[in-house]
Amino acid sequence: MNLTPAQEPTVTSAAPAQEPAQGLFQRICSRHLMNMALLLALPLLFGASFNKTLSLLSDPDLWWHLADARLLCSTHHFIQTEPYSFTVAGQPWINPEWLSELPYWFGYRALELRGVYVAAWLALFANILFVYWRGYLKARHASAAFWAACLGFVLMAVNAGPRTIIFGYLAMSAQMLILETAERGRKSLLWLLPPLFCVWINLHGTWLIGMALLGMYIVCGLFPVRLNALEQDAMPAADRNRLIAVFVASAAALMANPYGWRLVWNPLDMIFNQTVNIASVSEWQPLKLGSMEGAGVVLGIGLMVVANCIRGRKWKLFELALVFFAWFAAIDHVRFMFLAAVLTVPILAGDFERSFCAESDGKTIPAMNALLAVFALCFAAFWIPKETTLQKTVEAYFPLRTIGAIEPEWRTFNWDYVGGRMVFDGKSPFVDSRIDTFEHHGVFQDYLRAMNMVDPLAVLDRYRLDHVLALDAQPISYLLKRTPGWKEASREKSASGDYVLYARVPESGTKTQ
Amino acid sequence: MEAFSHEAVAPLSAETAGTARLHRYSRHVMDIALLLVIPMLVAGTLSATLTLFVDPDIWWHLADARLIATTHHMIWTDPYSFTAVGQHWIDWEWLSEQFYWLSYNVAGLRGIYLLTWLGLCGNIVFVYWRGYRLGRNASAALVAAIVGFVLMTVNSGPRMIAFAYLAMSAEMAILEEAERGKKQLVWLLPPLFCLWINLHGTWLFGIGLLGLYILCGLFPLKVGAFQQTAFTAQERNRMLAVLGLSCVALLANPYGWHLLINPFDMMLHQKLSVATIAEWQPLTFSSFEGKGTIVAIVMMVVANLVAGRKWKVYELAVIFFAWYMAFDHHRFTYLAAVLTTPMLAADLKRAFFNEGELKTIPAMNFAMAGAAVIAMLYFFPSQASLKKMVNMMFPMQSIAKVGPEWRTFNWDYVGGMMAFEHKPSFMDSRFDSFEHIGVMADARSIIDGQRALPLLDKYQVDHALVKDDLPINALLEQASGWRVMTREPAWQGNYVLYERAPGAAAHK
Repeated sequence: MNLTPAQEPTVTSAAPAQEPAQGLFQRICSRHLMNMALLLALPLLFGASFNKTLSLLSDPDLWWHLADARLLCSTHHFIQTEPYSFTVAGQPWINPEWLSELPYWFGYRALELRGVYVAAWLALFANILFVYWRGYLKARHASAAFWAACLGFVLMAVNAGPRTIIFGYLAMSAQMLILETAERGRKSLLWLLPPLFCVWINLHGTWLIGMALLGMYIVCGLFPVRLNALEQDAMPAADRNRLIAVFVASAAALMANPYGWRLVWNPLDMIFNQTVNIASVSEWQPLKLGSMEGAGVVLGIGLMVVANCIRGRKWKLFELALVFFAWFAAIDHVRFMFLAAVLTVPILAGDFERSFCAESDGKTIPAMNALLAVFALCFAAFWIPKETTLQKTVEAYFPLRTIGAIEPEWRTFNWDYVGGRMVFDGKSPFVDSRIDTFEHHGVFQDYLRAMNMVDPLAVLDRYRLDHVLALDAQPISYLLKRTPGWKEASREKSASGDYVLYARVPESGTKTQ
Repeated sequence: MEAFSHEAVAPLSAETAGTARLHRYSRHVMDIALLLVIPMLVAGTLSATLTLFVDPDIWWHLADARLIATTHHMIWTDPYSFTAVGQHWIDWEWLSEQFYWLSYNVAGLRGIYLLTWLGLCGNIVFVYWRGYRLGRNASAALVAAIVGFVLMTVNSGPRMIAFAYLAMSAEMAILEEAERGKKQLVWLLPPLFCLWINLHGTWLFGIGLLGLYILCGLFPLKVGAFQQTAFTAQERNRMLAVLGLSCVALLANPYGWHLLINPFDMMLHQKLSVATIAEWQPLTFSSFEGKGTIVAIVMMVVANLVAGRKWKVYELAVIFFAWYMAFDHHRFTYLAAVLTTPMLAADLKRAFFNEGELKTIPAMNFAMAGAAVIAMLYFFPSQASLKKMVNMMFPMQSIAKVGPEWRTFNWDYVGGMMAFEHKPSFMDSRFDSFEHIGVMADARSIIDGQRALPLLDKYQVDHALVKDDLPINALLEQASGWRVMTREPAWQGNYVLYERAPGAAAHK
């Protein structure tokens, strides 16, 4: 009898304790559901690639990527020589992003342009979701993770089209997640890195950055530091040995690809042998802080600094090095803003939680969250454009009729922007936006000479070119209009201006009129 | 006994104080001597490379100053080009130009070199001194000033802006001294702004920084590392009065409100200039200044992590502003040096320089300073070597051939030298008045080979002086009615002087 009164309170106190815990769990889950649905809809509203602007189909690389994947799927052989142009055809060339091209190709096969749209949207969303999740694991605060992920989306906008690099960044997020989880004690997860690198090298050349980050993680963890806000212990010998083994296994796993050492060498070739490419492609240029992406970087850095001034924390060397590297890369090359998002957003979420988020995640209304999530999903389903709309967009960006009229025996000098589309339509270009192989053989340098009017007619003669496809506003167009021996064959309007196709005719003189 | 003790201690402490002073001053003498010689050894403009005359602006600056000095009248209309001649134009940096003209008159090209060097060194020594005042450590101030020098190399040529940065450093020194309690010094700001507006358009940044200083000081803040008290009412009123007076003082210039709106005109109406001029482009980290920027920021962050401090909102705002400007426009790494170097010195002292300043050997310091002075004398270039550099940079023979009645289309790079040589040009690197009346846009079209031939007709151009790697060159080589007069090698390529055949028909 005496036991009953003692047991009753135990039972009655456990029930309410479980009930709030379950309620809290449900509230947090509903909050995540809403956040994810909002993040899913975010690119559709604010990403120029996916909203009414539909600029995703203006990406010149998409078309040769699709052509590559088509070739791979139809021949069941990996590309080993340059298959499209008449300038470097037959020269050794490997397709370094073959695996990333396949989702776009499958999307295109299944749903045509809508398939490409959906594949690009889901790939971007996956990246946003990944940094949101990592941010939540770091901060344990859904609001902080959500706002950090929103900022991440602004930074990711730079490569928010149908880019193969997006899959490379998914791999990078996975790598960072593994390292972050290892920091939280689950060290055995590190053995997932070698298979990750095995996939990554087939996706994109960013695996090199991943290897460097892994190396940096090991080096930074080798020694203890206790200098005020810099505080870390050296990793134990067992951890160090495990990491070195993982690093070596990852390096070995890189060889598991259809091109062997040539695919491993590819990003190094980019660094050392493609200086003209890097100097002339716009997304390799430094970031303009006045641009929308630039404002995102300023905001990200500003918030990080202010948050750490309001409530500081202890830093490990690797975290500091990571933050420096990410912002350095983003400011030096505008394309690496995406990389900065992948690396810094989870850290930023932790900063937000510490300095700005006073309210707990439990303070939320599940019904309202569910309602907002449903609304966002309905919006997303409604927003996906029609095939005809997408087709019209492609027609607005590329001179499809003119490209269609190019004969197989022509040697057409083309603006590199349309080269990929020519490839996709089965026409041989002078160059396309792959650039790498063209630079190796000096073709890209000659192309730039002609486009910048440094002895352009000599370049046209040297390659025995009989047609030129350029924008009316480009200097070479102005020259050809006034050069006897060339005449305008056709003209087609586009969003970038009029495309003019020039044809060589028997010469009647050499002087410009 | 008491009296004896007192007398015994007093001479000893005087001796110690004297020794300490000798140690400190000898250290400063050495540091300053090193900071004077470093630009001569490292800066591309002043070292053996002698690229200071690559700058195309110096020549029209000298021509401006010559005109003012000889006519005793300020310039109100464009005096050089045949495209904008007679159009409203004011010489917005007239006072800075006079210093260069004076030095040129006294010592020729060596005078230009000397003034350029002194302008740069003035800035380096100023940030060293401000760094020392903030950090109270000569080593930290020296390291920070060297980093500052790297950032300043972006404008280490004969630039008018160097004098303006001296004014900015003076403004910051006044505000820093006011923070240390010498509040009355802020009354020096109005006369400073009166001088500054006649030197360069950067006075607008100065007024902006003063406004920011007042705004940030209006409220107290105690959150984490942020800690500041608000101005007292008296301080606030004094600062507002100083700001008001400084704004009034800006009108004390020979152009009145015209000079006041000049920097606004640059921001609002000269988008093409800003978009096309290299030093207005974003910073590239691969450049010398870019690397300096990385080093400075990393040092600042790490120093604050190793030994944190309390921040005032104004300090953080200044740092953000400085680095933002440096990243957004390459040329403003100099501005970042002026604004951040002294804070960097204090950071370095707090985090890394724990040793007292007295640990130094005066004799060695003086020996180092002597060696630096000898190096300066040794490396100072001769007039002949400078003249040779000018001849290498510009197509002097082609410019000399240009007749007074010719209407010569020229690459803007050589326009300043044409003005200096009394030759009428199509345009030069002043850009502003050319952009206002559309000449600059037309010049870009011509150079890029877009609508070039009709535009040459529009301006009745009969000659062209262009580099052979510019698109227009390919057009003129092919165009009927144009022939090559001369070819002349110069800086990074050949110049071609084209002549239009007399009576050649207009281009279709």
